Amino acid sequence: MSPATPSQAAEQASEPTRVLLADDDPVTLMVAAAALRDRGFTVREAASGQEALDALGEGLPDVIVLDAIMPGLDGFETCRQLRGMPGGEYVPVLMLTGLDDDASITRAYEAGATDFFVKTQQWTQQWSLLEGRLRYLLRAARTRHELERSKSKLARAQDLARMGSFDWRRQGGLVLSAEALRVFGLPLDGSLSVRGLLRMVPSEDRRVLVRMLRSTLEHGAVLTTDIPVTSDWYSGDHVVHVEAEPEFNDQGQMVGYTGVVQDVTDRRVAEDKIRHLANFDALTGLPNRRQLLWRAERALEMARRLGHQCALLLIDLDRFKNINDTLGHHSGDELLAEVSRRLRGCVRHSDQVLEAVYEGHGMGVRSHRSLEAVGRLGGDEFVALLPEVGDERDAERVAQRMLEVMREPLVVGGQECFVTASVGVAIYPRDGAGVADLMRNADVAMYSAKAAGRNAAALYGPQLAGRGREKLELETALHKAIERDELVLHYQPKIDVRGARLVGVEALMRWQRGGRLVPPGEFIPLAEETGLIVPISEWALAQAARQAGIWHRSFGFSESIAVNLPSRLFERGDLVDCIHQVVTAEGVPHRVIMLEITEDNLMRELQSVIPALHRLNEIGVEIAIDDFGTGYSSLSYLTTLPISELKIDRSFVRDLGISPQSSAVVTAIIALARSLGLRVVAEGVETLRQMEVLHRLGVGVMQGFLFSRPVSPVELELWLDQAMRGRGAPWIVPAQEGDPGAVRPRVLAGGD
Amino acid sequence: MHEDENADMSAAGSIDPLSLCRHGDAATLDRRALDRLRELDPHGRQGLLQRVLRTYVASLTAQLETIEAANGRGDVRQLRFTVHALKSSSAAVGALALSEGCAEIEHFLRDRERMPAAATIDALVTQGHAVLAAVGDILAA
Repeated sequence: MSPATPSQAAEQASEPTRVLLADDDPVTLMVAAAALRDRGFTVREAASGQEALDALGEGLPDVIVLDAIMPGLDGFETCRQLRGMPGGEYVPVLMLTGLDDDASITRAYEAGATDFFVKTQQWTQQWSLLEGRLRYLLRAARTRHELERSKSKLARAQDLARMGSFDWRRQGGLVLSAEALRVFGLPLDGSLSVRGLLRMVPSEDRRVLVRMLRSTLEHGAVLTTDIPVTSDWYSGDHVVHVEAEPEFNDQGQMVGYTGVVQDVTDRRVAEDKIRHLANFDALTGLPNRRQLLWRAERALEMARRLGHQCALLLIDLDRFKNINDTLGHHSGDELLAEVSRRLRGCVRHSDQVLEAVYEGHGMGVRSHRSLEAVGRLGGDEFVALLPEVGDERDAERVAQRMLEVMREPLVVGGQECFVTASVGVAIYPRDGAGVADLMRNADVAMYSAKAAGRNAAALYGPQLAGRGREKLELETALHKAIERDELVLHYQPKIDVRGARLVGVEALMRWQRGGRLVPPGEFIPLAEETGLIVPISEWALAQAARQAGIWHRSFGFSESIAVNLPSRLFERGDLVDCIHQVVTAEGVPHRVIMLEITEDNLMRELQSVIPALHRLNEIGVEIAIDDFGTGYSSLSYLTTLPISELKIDRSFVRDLGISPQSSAVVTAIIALARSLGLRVVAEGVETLRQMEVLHRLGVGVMQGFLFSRPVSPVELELWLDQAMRGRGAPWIVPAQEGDPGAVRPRVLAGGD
Repeated sequence: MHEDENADMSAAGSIDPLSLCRHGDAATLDRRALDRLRELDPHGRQGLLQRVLRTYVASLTAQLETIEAANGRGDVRQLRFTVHALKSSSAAVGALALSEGCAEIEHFLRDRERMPAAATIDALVTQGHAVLAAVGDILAA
């Protein structure tokens, strides 16, 4: 039975209080027992001290009443012995003593009795007195028990919270509770002086702590602080939080402090972890945008104060998307981690988590050096902060070093690959007064480096203003355009006016960007610049092949769809494979794809493009030269190139009938084409007059608004349908007039 | 009052037998005490009063013998336990004079740690027998 029972039993009327009553006089015992039972108690009678002790074996009573004077084991000895029994220490014991027997009263307390009750001559007539005393005793026991429980609860709670209390007196020193000793890793019977405690604090923190303690004591202020603690017998470093309030005497003098200590190491570790997560990039371990901007702000403050310059370098990997797409995201991550390692090696990188604490660390003259770092802004974009540079050459040197460390091949996913970066540099205060300005201008400079061919560093200059950011936005949007299917192909028919029939279409790309149709001139140059032209072109090839298949099934389309490709696509060894794949996937012959390359493009990269042209030709893919006449084609090369078609540039067509030179150029081109056995196509035909002139000059195949603007596949089918019936197609008329026998409207498509 | 008595006793060196006789109706039991006992067993179902008195008779008889024996041996300790117990039980059944007599001897024994005058013991024993007779009458009634 637990010591909890007496008090609880007393609370519950349903369970009578159990009294163990010991008296050697049988009459007194009998009468007292009867009286207590009459008052609702359950009474166990014992005729001697020994019998009382034996009775305890049957279960602990709620209260024990012992006659002090008994032969054999008297009340005192009985009490002493029962206090030593398990559970016996908590049972309230009432000792019955003689009227003026002071000695017995003292002895009763010494023996562990809870209270005494004087047996007057009338005591057997006044049971209510005894009852009252017993009730009081039970209530006191209950209160005491609750106090004990709450004390042990508190101790347990403190233990769980790794918390303990302490008391410090100006006279008398430091006293720690058992729990507090445990907080400091000391044995329970140990002690700790203030001096001893200070010895556990690392020396650099100790000085700060002593200064703080002195000032707190001087002002009698509330003490709240975290103390780093380390010692030989203590496992690892701990942080102990101290919180204490001063106590004052009647004269208002501070006499001591009382408070709690708590081991907050875990909390601190968690806080540090959170702080680290909030400030560092998980993939590369570099400071993240937030941390880097924070450092940059501090660096600028220092630069402002000390009057020196600092530099922000924005580093962006070239064509990272390609790498990510080719090797997979996992390898992309690996690559970023390795690049990070290399970049941080280029500066005096500091990994410290710097935040509000920074100010507290007493800034030395050169302390802003610890702000130096490379951080990751996100994706493949990094920033280097140089908190102090002598001039822009310092920053350029770092930028060059960064480009250099990239030159070493990287091994990711077991594959060797190369990556280059473009770096933009902005200098404080020259290129901006705030972090935002500097970041923007470093960005602009970086884009100018990219525009100039990548793998380079560029300093910001006012002439660059207003360029980078819009492009960046456009580029980001363009990246997403592919993922979001925002790109579409429109088709413009190529018409053989002599037969009034469709001989092919040219695919032209459009970008449906937020409800607007962006023409290719606005985004193709950027796509070329950023390298996005590669995935975009691949997409276009696949799309064209798919459309050819659809039209073939729909109305027997068997002509070719011309796709414009930049020369860099021809340089890629996998262009043939790519085309093979897309046509095979759609079940259409290779010849449905025709490739257009501008004359400019072709001539610039002629040597590297020629092998691809031959291989394409071998598999049946025809090549057309676009914008012909504008470049400086070496005509001798034309004779050796495996090309099938020349497309007369629209500028000549536009001026036909206006400037005599135009018709001369067109005539020359036609002559050249004939001699080489090439087809000639006139682009940009907008009027009947242009058509007639071209026709007269000997150009049979034309393309332009006169016939149809570039339209969606569905519109193209509608257009075909209308043209076949000769409705709203004025160009059919002259063609019919020119060669009536050639009119075969029924075979507009899928003809010979 | 007790202190006065103690002072008397220490002055006289013994207990004045007459002091015991001051309670003239020494042999009668206090009615209020008996009423109290009856109250503990209002309808007499437990026969509490009878049991108490019978027990009292048995223990008193034994105690009187013990007192005489202890007195004969000069056994202060034994005498003290006995008068202590008898004091209580006598008070409980209403033999107040006898109880007081016991109390006085107990005090004396505690303070002096020697036997009181033989006459004092004799008087107590005589009184005890008178109480026995009175209780016997009640039980017989």
